[in-house]
Amino acid sequence: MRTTVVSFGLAALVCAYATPLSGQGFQTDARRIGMGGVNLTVDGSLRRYNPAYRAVPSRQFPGGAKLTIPVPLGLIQFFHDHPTSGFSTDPLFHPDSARFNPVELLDLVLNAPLFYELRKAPVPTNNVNFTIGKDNLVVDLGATQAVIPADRFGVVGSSRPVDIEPGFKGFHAGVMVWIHDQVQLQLGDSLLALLKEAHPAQHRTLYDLRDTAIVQGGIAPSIGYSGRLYGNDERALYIGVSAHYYIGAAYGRSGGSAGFTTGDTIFAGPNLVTPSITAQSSYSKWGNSTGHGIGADIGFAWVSGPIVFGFGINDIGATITWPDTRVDSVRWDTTANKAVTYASVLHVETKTKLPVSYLANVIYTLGGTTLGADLLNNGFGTTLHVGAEQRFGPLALRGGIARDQRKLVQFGWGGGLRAGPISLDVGFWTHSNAFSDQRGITLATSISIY
Amino acid sequence: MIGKWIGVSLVATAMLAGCGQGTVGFDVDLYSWLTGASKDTIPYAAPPGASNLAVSNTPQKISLLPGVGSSLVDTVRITGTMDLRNQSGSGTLGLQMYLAADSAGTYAASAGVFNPLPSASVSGTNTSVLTLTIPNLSARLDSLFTASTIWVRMVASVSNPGLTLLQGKAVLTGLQLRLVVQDKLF
Repeated sequence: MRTTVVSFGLAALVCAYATPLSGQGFQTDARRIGMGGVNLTVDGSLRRYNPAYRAVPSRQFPGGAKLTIPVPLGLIQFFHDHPTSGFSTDPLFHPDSARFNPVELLDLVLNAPLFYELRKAPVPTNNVNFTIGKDNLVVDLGATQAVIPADRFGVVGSSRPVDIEPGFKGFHAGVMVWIHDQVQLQLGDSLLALLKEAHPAQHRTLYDLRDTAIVQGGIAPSIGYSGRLYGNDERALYIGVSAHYYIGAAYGRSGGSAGFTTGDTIFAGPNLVTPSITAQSSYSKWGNSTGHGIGADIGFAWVSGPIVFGFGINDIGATITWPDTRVDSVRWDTTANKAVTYASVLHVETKTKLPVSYLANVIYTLGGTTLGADLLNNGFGTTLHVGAEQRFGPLALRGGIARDQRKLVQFGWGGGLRAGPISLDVGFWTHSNAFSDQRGITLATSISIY
Repeated sequence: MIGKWIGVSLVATAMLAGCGQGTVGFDVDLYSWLTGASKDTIPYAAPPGASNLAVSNTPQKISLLPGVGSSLVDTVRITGTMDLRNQSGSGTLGLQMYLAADSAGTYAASAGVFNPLPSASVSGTNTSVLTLTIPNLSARLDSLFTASTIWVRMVASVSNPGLTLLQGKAVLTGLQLRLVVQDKLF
């Protein structure tokens, strides 16, 4: 039971924390962190979203490192606080401990302690209150009402962890691994009013949470072209296109609602409420028939002297057809007072879509000064990064700001010292947790080899 | 069972929302259960010379939200009022309230919450008001409030030093419980 409660708490916090996490991303380059997360060099991030950058000469982006190695000062801090010899008794990892704190554990999972936490994001003090009567229930979450999401919330990710596409004379072909995961939740109107506005619970009313979750992945043989459409080295327009044939290896989707319906009296009888569960899941396991679909990436980059502007769109029209999926349905049986699974429907054709992502960015380089901004939408929310770097010989100073998916502004600043092909970079980065607009500060350190 | 876990979920959400140095408070309208079950009234009839005659109603179950099992109880405050609607005779009436985890437990002397008993004099056909206040209940009863239900029984203690029958009814007009727990859910 205790584990169940812990699981519930963690799940709730995952949802609450997911948005800022996905907005900030997990970065290991102190240089980029010090510029608010902006891309000022052609790295994997830019090429992933804009195939035209494959054709843009790297000299347009001076300063890019061949290799960046994070210096994990945060791990030293972590293992000092939690020595490995004490893991077996460390309350951090033991829900049965009286000092176990699920918030702390979740924070560890979602914010891996790679870098030194200079100042932790303060957890706000908040008092919540329940008003209970035989026919009355009011839940007043106090200041936390502000973070109860009125709209759909959750996590959406569309990634390409492996992308091997060697090229020749602008043409490139290869294969990539693609993964799409999406978990979205929506509080029903009644539950929203109960939690966010402290409305009294009503009679014979459904309080529910609706969810949509999908996970799919596979490989995609790809072919494309990236090249200069016209212009010269000083001023040119580059274009890139890639076509993908998606082969889905496995897929699962679920959707439905879960909640409860109140009775004629809020607190009466042995069962206070009647559960309400309706859910449908469909899936195609690994080893079952594969899914198939086609999609494309397209992008262009405009280079004009010190300015580079790019715009790329990914996974256009990427619809995957799964010819053989299994569909299961579950609903709450009020007679049997338990969840009942209906007979599965086999061999159902199902179609899924990959979210369309786009990235717009601009980089301006003049002498030792580099400015940049990028706007990324991954199909669920938009993040904005703006940053700059000023070099003074071997010394570099950096700064930047970002707007995360919670629409909170975060700040980055830092510097670097270069000696020959090696530089040591330090970056500071503010971050917030889901329950507060107050910020913590992370100190990132990395070594780059040029 | 499901209702229990829904309650747990609500409390868990609240406690996680109040994480940090916050507290979780419960304002429980005990009166709503007692009056809804017609257990808000204790008729009394004490013959002349009766001393501390106990008159009781039957125990009533009160629902609390589950999920605070490991919480540290900070404060349990009880406030309420009772009308003593006397019909004849004169004397004094005190009230004891017993709180326990089950019905039988309310009959244990140790379950009594008032010490000394709140009391008021009654006479004739007048109505007296008895005020019930406990700023912070004894810590020995804290564990009661981390359960999902609690049982309540009220007992009137009637003394009639007069020569005529002391008769009337004690009618509860309000009874509130304020519970504050520290957010140690797990």
